[in-house]
Amino acid sequence: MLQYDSEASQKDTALVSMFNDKIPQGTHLLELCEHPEDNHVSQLRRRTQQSYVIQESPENEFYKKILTYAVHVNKANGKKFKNSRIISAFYLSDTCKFSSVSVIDHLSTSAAAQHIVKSYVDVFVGNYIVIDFELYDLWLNGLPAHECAVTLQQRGVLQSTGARFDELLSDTKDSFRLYASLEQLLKCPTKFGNQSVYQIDPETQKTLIDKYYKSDDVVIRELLGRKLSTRNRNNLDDVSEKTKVPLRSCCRQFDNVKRVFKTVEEMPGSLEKNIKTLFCLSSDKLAKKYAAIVFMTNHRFETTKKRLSHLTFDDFMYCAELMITNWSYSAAECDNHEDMDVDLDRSFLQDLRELKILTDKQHLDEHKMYVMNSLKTSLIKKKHSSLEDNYKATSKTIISLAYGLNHSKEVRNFFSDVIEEVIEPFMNTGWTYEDMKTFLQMYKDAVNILTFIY
Amino acid sequence: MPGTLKVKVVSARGLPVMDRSTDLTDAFVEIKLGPEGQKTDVCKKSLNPQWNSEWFKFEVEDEVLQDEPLELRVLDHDTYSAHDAIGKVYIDLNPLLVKESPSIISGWFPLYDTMHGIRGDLNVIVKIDLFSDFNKFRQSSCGIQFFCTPEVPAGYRLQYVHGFVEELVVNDDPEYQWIDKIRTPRSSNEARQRLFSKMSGQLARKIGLKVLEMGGGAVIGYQQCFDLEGESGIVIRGIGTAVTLVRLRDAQASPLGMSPLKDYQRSMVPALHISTPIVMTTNINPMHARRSLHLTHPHSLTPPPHSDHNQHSDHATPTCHHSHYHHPRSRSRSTSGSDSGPCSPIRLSSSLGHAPSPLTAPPYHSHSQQGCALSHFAFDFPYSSPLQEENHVPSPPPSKKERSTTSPMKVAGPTNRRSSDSDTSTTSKGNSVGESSGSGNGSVSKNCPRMCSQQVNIELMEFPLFTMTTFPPGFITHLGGVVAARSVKLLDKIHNPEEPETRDAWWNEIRTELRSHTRAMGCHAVIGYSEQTSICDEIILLSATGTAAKNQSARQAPSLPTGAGDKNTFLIDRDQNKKLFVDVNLANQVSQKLGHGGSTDDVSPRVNCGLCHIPYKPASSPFPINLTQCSSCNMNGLFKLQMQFVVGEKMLVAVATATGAFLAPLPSPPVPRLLGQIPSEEENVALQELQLKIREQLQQYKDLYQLNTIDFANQTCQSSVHTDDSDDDTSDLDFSTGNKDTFVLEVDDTRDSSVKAMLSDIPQPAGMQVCNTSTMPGIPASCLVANMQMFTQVFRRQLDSSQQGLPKDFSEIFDSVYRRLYFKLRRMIPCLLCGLSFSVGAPEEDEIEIAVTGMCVAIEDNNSHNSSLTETPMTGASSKSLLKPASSSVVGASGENIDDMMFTMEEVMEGSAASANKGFKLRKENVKMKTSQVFSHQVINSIEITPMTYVPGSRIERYIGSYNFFFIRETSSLKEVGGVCGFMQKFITEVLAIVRAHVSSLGGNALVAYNMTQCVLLNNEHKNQSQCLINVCGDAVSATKDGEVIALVPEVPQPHYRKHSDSPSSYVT
Repeated sequence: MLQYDSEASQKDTALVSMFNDKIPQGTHLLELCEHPEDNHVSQLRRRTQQSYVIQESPENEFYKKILTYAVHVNKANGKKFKNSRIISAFYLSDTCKFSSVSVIDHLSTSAAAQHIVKSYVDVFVGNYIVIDFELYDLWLNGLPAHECAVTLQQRGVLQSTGARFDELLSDTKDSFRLYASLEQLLKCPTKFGNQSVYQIDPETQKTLIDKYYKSDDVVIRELLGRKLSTRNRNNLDDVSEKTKVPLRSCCRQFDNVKRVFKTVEEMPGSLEKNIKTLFCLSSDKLAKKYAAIVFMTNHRFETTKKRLSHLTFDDFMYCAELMITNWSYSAAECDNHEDMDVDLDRSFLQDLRELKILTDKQHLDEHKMYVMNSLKTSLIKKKHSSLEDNYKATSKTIISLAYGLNHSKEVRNFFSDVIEEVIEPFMNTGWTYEDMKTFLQMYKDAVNILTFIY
Repeated sequence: MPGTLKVKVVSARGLPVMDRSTDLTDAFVEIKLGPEGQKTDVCKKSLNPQWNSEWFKFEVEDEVLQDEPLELRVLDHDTYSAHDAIGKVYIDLNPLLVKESPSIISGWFPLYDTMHGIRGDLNVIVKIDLFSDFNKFRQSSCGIQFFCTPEVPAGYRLQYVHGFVEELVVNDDPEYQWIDKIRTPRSSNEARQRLFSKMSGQLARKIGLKVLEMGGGAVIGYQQCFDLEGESGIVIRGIGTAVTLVRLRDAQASPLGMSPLKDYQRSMVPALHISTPIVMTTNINPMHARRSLHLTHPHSLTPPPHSDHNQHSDHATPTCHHSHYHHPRSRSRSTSGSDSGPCSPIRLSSSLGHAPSPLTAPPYHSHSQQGCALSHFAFDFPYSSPLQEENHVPSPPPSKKERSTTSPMKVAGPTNRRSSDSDTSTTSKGNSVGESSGSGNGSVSKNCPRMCSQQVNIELMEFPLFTMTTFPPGFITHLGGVVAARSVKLLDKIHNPEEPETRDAWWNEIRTELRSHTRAMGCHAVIGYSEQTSICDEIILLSATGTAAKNQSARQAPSLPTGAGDKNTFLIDRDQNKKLFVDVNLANQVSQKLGHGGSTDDVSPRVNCGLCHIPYKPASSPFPINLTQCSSCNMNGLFKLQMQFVVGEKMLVAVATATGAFLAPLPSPPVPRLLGQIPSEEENVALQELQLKIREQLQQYKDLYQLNTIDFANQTCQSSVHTDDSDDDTSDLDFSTGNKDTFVLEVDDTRDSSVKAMLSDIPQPAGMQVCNTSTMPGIPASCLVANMQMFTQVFRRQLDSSQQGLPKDFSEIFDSVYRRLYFKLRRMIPCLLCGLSFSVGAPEEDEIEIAVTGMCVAIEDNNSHNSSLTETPMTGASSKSLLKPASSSVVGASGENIDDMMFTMEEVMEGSAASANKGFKLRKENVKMKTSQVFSHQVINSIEITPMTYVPGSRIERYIGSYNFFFIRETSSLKEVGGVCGFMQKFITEVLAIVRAHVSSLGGNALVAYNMTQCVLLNNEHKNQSQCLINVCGDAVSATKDGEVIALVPEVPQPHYRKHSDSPSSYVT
């Protein structure tokens, strides 16, 4: 055990050089926090990397150097983060004073964590729950207390109040503990109405919930259509890496989606309304978003294919909303409202089968004639003729897509099929969105006339 | 059967899942009162069970109702194994036993489990039907109200003060019984919690009995303490002041909760009480106090107004019959009052009805004359209306005749206060001094200055102890100074620990000593009295403090014993009336401490040991007033001094907290001087430097509070100062060496920076004021708009155990506590942190624990307030000079530009005349108001909890009952709940939640006089275990926001709540 008390950052070089002699090879530098979840080694590793990235302010030069050093030692050693030795650094004040830097040999992380926790009790409890939403946002982002304090410090919180880093950190930790205990309620927001433990005013409560359920579109885009399994949750590292959203935040969003999904999955009635009431969401937009997510997840739509990668969450949400309003049990035409919103209306799907008739030569030609005639004015000649040439194939694809909705496997691939078989060929011939819209409109209308005649 | 308790269990909600297989719970409720128990049906498979049970009835004696809490226990039914406990609710039935309180308790109570915390809520309705019982020998004391509030509760008028009541109950600590070895932590905790609750009920009942005997009807300033003595058991002590209160018909309570007495009230009780004659004695300058003789005259209403001479000339001219103390500013006003017959209401300075007093009356002499008269304490309070008094001040002679002290509790009859014979039947028998065996007879003639135990009773009689801190205007005429007594005892030396006698004797000793100090100061009463203990292993440190004062009753005695002992007398600020301990006598405190340091046998270099009581050696050689701490910021008065002594394993900690104030009538204190043994020249230089630093600091403070420029402005400011002392601390005032100067700091070691550290507080942020009093002297109550946050902070830290670093480290810890508070509450600026109370503990060898509670009160934007004030000429009568108009509102500055503006404000509060005549300036810091961040605290149906006796911005409509409960929480999975911090945070949150639930179930919406009297945290990190005990108390009240229409039916906080059938008219006793 090596104890060292450093007065100021001037000594840092000395310290590092001293470490150079004393630290055994394979040393692993970790910052340990009080949060219970932090005992997980893999998270700690991540934290170390993040700390290294985040600690950019000049005050943290010293800290950074130690981290750099440790990473250097590890790299030189060729062993990435061998979990045998830990340096725990207690960064305690804003004047860059390390109250103690100790090297602990062969300690498990939890034991090391205990070593820190032992220091003192420092809690603040009020009669009313007052939320510092700036801090709350940082917490939602999944930053550990210490980093959060550093971030706030960089934002200049301390300058305006004249406080020291110590107070900031203590306040942060205190708030984080509060948020962690509030999280139990946030997971089931209806409980807010029935609890007496926390005295929160309704406005704060609303903001708390809305912020908790707020999600990043990029993260949700990654989750769309995935099975919400534990295995997928464990692989959120990749999502976090790809989206640059902290892992903890990703986990929260994943859990939120999963919770909402599990709650409303089997529930009759309007999806959006269910979500809104059960999770006390104040904004329709958020409820709609979750409705779309639940819908997409329920049908396990394939969204991860490379072909679909350019689509954003908003695109999918748009589609999902249309599907819910037109194809599901809550659709206006659907007369059987007893079943769930999440599923497609079975009778509607039955009806789609009947479209097969359009693939018959006789009907196809008739249909084609109507469509082409009505498009004559709105389409330029080149496109018109190319459509005329490919009409049969195109129509067949569309019909089979609709027909395929009866099979869940094809439902799953709906988006990629649409893109591959409908959108891409049209795009190749230079069709615009407007062109496409008119064509499909006509295509649909023509069927009505056709059927009428028929 | 004098009482039937009826309980209905309605439903529960949010129960935890007890059956893993179904994820549901089969809950039922056991209802217990004492040994008797009943239970509801099992409500199968529900987390929100509905029982809607029948009324469960318990027919019991009313002692049982007083002693035992109603216990409701929710269990999960299990067919094969034992039922699993979910949680418990304890309901104190005492509020139901008071006539004017609610007749029903109903609401959601959190289900509390000592191992898991709150798990769901239970909805119950509780009623009591009481039968009249005329049994004279009954053991119960139903109907006695208890108020934690140390003042006359809002909406009541004080009719009598009967005196001090105390009681002490001892029991075995279940934690130390053999059975504890075999039972589960839960049942052990529950047994303990039940015991605490029962003891507390017993204690209150016994005190109530005493009050009944004395003829009182209520206890105010009730304080209850638990001493966890360990092996020798648990001691629970209660002290209070027995009074008779009269409910006002229309509670026009002032926002400060002071007894508001209205004119029309008088007409309802015609002519029985006429304004009390109060002699306002000269406020004697400390310097001249010893020699000046005080004179009173029967016809002081007629003396020529002596408006021109200042106070010093008052003293210098003993020919003046009656000397008023005047604030320079107020002179014109108050003298005009005495000219015109009806005297200014606040400074009632007439000595009506006094027999001509001898010119000089030494205290002892007076006692012997008045022994009988003084042996009871039924001070009556005819009318202490703050404002409208003048209309009713009649000519002196009739007032004397008609004054009578009818109390509804006693047989009504015109009992002249001074004729003791008429009162002896009630008072001498039931005198406050339950502990004294002999009754107080008139044998006071042997009043010798030294105290001896045989005289206990006499002492007690003569020098009443009041736990109240605020008195009706005019009650107190003089303040002597702080008196304190301490004693160290050994717990293992108690002969039979189960009996309370030994402890009774201990406390008697201390109280006696305190009284003797009081007498030495020439005072007759102790106000703001409180008691405290600190226990470490076998050592128990008992301490009692208070402020010696003279009160009106003493004044009424024909002989006026003033003068000799009055070292410094203060004019109490009648308007504020919140101020307590004026003047510290640190010297005493420290010298006493030394004694204790010696007797804790680890270190005894200065062995005063064995002699646990260091008498105040005062009367003979009056000692200087040492305002050591505050002198550094040029303050000359300390209010609400609170001293705490803690015995730890390796150290002895003393903490003093007070709010400093600069009172213009008192001379400015000199700069503290440093003294020390100076062996070498080098050290001398160092000492000089230190002295210089102190001087600089003083100057800084002066600048800060602007005491330089304005001599007469009565500037008040806060500063809470902590003195620390440990066994090796060096900054002691060695008083006995004959150092008679004031403001001396003795330094043994010049390298010791503790002196300097002690003398400096960290500055509070702009816009935030701090005080430990209930209101800030100098900020009118009308500026305090609303409660924003009641906070509890618990801070525990390891101390640097090296001898040198200890004191420094200690003050650093306090600094960081302050800093944390300031930082935490930064968004609430502009605000006032008041009612700040520190409690320090030394739980482990090198650990120090500080628990702070306080209240953050919003201060209204002073700009608007000022302008309105300066525009209204209402205060023009007083010769006040407005220093600067309040026009200078600085806008949009960056927060660093502190623009000190001088505001002279008039307090608009009624009854604030005394302060209206002192100008105070409010240092107005220009803080950018972040409106977006201003905390909106307007929670619907929110329950306020406040350590103060009032709710800013609201008026207390009625008191519903006092709440007192002991919580125990334990965990064996410390790490999982987030470490000790997480554990503590959760626990305190839960305690507050339970308190709120109880308040709301009684129909209240606030808890005033909240106090966390105990917070013991036992921690075993290695075993992953922690246990914490918290005791809280307070008065549940229902308060209405200002401006709201006073509804006849009080606001019902929760929709499902019962209907209030009682109309306010039934409150009059």
